[in-house]
Amino acid sequence: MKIRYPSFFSFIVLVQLAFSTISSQQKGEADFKQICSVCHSIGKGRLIGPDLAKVDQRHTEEWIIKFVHSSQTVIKKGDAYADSLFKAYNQVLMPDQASLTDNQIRDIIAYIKIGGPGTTGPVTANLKTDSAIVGDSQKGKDLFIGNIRFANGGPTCNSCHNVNHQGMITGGALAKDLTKAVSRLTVDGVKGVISGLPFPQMKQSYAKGPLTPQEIDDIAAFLKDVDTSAASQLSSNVGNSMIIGGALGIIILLILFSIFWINRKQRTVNYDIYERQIKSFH
Amino acid sequence: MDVRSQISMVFHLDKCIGCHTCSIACKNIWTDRKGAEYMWWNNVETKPGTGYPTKWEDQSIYKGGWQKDNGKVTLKGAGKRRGLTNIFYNPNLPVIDDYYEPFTFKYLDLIEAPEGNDQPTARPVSLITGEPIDIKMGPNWDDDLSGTPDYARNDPNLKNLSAAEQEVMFQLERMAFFYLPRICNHCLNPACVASCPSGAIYKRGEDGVVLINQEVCRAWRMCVTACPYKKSYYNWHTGKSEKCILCFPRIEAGLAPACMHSCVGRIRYLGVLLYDASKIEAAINDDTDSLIDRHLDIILDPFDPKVIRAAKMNGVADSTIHAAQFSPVYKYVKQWKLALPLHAEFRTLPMLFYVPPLLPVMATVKQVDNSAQSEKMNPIAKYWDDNWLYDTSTKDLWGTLDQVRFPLKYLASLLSAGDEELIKDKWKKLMAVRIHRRRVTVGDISNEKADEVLQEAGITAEMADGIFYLTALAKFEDRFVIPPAHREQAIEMMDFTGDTKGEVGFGIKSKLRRGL
Repeated sequence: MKIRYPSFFSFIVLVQLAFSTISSQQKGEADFKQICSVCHSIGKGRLIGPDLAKVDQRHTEEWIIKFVHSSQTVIKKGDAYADSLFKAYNQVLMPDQASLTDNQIRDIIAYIKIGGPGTTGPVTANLKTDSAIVGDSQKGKDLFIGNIRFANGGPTCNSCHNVNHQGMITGGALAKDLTKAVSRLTVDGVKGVISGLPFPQMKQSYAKGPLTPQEIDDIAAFLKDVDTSAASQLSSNVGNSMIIGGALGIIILLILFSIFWINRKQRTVNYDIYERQIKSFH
Repeated sequence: MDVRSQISMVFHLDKCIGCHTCSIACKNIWTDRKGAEYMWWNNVETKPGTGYPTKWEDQSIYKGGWQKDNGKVTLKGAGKRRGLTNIFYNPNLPVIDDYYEPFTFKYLDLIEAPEGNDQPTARPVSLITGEPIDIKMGPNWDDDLSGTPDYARNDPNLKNLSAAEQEVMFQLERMAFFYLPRICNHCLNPACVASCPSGAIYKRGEDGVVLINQEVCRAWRMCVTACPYKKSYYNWHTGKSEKCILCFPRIEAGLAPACMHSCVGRIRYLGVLLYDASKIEAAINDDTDSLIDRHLDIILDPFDPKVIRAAKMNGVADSTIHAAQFSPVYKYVKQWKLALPLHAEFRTLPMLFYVPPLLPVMATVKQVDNSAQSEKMNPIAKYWDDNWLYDTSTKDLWGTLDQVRFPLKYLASLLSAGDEELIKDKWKKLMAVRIHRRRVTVGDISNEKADEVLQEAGITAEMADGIFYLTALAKFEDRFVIPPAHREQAIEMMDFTGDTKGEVGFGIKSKLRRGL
């Protein structure tokens, strides 16, 4: 019995441990699917961010928690690896997940450890090859500039975002310029961002009025068009030409005015008399 | 026939002595306020001279008045198209230096300056900036300066005279000048009213006084450009334009306007004229040659029963018609045809008429031998060796008219739109009156000659006596025949007077602020 007790105890502990691991994996799965899966896969290759399979072997738990809470803080502290990650992934900023507790992050790591949904699915070697585009680019453009309202009443894209595309008015400067969004994020990444809303401001803006899948497809198709034609667009950066053009315009206008009003009364009729008079005040 | 009444004026230029009392009377009552110091609603100019503002008659500079373009009469400097395109620029406005920079003197320095080596002086200071200035110009800077190159020879009326004619005009022995007092003409076709984008200027229905509503005026200053007589002024302090109001508060009280009341030479006459408003449009579109005839045609005979009936139908008060029958203006302008409008070619139909001055043409300069006369003089006296005589004798009937020392062309440019015959006609009448009166009072002219003169001038002895009376003897009531105003009727046409019952009086709807 003396032997049994510890073995029983250890069994209990093991069972408990196993259960607790399972439950923490389940919690981690829910969080991962809701928050991380927009940008990250487990063993399916890179999406917007890196594949997280075996992340627990690459980094310490402590480092991961810090990075998830605020990736930019880690980079700014001079972490060379974090910096190289940021650069390798098109400098797409990983949104701070300050609301996740340390335990929640540990749960997610636990979920990643067991391989997520499994690596049985086909590994998409290079997610840069986009899935077939089913959206309507023209409709996407109308949605983007607000000619058509989003079905659930979300705000128009161009109130915060700008794209440089033919015949379109300049959009807002509050958020990232989306001209090269597809190059940076891929079409699936774009769709992921719009549907998953990883960015806090996007989340706030669209929490009550999420886009329908069709709308997401349309906008992705439109952004894809914008991206492919970006090279042939006129640059929206006019440099000094605005100031120079304005100055030239004013000079031309002044010349035109002085020609048009050439017969105006230019000075007092008493000019000659006044000029001749001796002045004691100057 | 659309009969209306107009308070109209005649200035008898032969009687003006250039004392500027009228200008001072007006200034003291109306324009001694801030922003109005440079305005002279009434001013007196020496002619030939450039006037005030300088060269106001030259519309190539100021673009005032009406012009006839392709048979259509339009405003020269304002109007719909030109006014709208220039509304924020208004390029032909006179500037303050075209008038003069108003000034005063620091009189207090004379008594308050601290003790020093020099006697204190009262320095001139600008009434606009308050800074010390050099006085460069005044409202009558060309006073009595006939012949001067800066003023007399720059008179815009000389442009039709040849260089030789001008030279003769300004020879020392021949040089002459006369005075031209000017106020607002209260025109029948006022360019200022037509030009105002705000509709602030109006011609008062009952007496034709042209006024600027200070509450409606929005300082576009189109009236300043449009008035060819430059009698609308911009007040830079209040931001509104102002002009002569013909002292309407005095007229409504039965008093003559201040300038007329104070006139030392008694040159001014004021009375009612009845006119036919339906003839105005045809008159302003007429050729320049017959413009004055058409202008005088508009004025109606107040004794004609048809005119009286039409006037009554138009609401002209009986007292106004009665005043029109005794109007000295009607006598001068229509009965005797002695007075002419100033610069009729501006086509504003001015209702201030001038009797042309005869004095510059009365005498001739003759070459005579003065030696016998000089011999008689005391040796101590200065020996007078000039051989010319300022001759006022009248041996020939109209001899002096043909060799006048003051060219007809000049006066014609001023008063008859270039028609010399018209001026000659007035001169003959004025001269005939003198010859007739000389027969009566001195008796050295034969009846035969005097009658011949009268006949040739086209007036009768009775008319000559009438002209003489109104020119030389007229009393206050003869010179100013002012009808009762009937202001209450004029107001009741537009407003219900019960609205202001118990308030501050007619015409003012907002309550006055009283007390401190």
